[in-house]
Amino acid sequence: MMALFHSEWERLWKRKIAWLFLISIPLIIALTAKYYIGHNASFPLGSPEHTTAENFPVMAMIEQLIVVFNVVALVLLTFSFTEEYRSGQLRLVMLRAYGSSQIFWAKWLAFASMMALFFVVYLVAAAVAGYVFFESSPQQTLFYYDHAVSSRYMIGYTLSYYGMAYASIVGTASVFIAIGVISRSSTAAIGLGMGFLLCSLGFPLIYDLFNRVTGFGWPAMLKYVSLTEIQFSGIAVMLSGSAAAREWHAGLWMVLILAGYVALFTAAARLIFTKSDRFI
Amino acid sequence: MKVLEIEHVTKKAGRRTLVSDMTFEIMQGDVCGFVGPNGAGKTTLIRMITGLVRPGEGTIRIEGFDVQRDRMKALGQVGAIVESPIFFPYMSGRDNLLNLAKLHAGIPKEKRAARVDEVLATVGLDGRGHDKVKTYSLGMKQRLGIAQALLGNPKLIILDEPANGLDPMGIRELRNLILKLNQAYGITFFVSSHLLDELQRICNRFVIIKEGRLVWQGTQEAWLEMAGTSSLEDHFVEMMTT
Repeated sequence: MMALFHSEWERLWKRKIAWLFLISIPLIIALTAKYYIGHNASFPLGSPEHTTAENFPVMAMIEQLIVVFNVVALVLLTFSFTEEYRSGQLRLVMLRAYGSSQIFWAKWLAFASMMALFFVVYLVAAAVAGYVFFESSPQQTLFYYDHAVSSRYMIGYTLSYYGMAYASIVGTASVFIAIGVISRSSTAAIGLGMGFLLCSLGFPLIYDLFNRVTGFGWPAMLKYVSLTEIQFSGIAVMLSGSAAAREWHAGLWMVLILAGYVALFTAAARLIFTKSDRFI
Repeated sequence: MKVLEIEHVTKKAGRRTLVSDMTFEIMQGDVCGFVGPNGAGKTTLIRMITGLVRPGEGTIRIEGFDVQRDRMKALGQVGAIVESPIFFPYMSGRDNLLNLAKLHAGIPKEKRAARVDEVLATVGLDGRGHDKVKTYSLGMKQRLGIAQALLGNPKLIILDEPANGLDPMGIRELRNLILKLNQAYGITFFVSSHLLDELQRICNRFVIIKEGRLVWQGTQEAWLEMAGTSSLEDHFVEMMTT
């Protein structure tokens, strides 16, 4: 199984997008820093939107998680699942004594490992850039927090934030894999994946509008069935532990949502991928 | 010794029967031609032999191992090109083989590169191994296909329409390669092709199918005797049209 994982990892790594993304992380970070430097002019120290050396890694992740990380995940998974299967390239692997279930998990693991590498490099680059581009502050104000936190606390918060961001990417990836195994072409997989992201982004807006117009007053927590909403504000809400978040068990709710996505879509994708006949 | 055993294999897709009650054997050292008109079920049977498709009924054994029940051991004995030789185009020929060599438990890590260079030399691609596959001609891809099939020292190599799209030079190279591997290494070949004249030059046995059913199997001598002509192609056309 390790040999299969290495083989999958190598093929994923040899894709241009994988190493191009990795080497472009410093550039993405630098551009994000430039944006936040301008942003700081409008938000004084003490505002959660004010960027400091300590909170920059989190701010940089908030800025790029929904678009950049999701799109990179979508493209990598489309190459790994849809293109290899539909072009017949995967036949080369399937002819070699491995079962399709083993191939499925090796692909999943190779993707998850590569994304973990991206997250680690992104975190390190953002941590360095934070101290290069922004002033340090002993106290940080965080979104949905009712009190300032210390720089020491910020280290744990940042790691937790990246952990949850990674979990959210695993969530969107499980949907992309399911899309990837049913799509007849890479173009269709990318199109459907982007469609899913747009629907995810649109859902909270429609939900809020619906609530406002009808006056039904449905709970705000339902917005977080959208994975991009978890990525946009859910992680910060979850980590804040504020009274409001505690009231509706935000952390548990969002973890359950993520687990639900992963379980449902991974199981469906595996079922389709491992069907007995492969006319490729 | 039997290398490949097909026993009462049937495959249906919905109401359509793709392969029906097929039974035959291939012995070690054979170069067996697998012939039949388009849509006869050749590729479906090859997919079942290589584990891509599950037989509805019947058993397929390679070197005595059931492909369905003992997949690792059965397919560990096989190298194959099913339909066209497709590779990972963004990698060089050598990198493709190195990547696939990882999947052969019988090739230790420290010997992978040497094994890859060896099979590249065997198929005459040692000078182009570092070039991207997308720059290869079809003939080179066919040879690379055979190289990947050779990686795990297989007892049986299955080639599905290997001469498709090849020019006469490419066909000759392929023929010489098959004969070399058969004679020098004792590798058994199961070759599906429409080019009967070509198969006649390399095969000692034939399996003929039509509409998913076995029509005839036997040695080339027996077929020539039955045909009463030196051209198997003429007799094959006659068999398929009557």
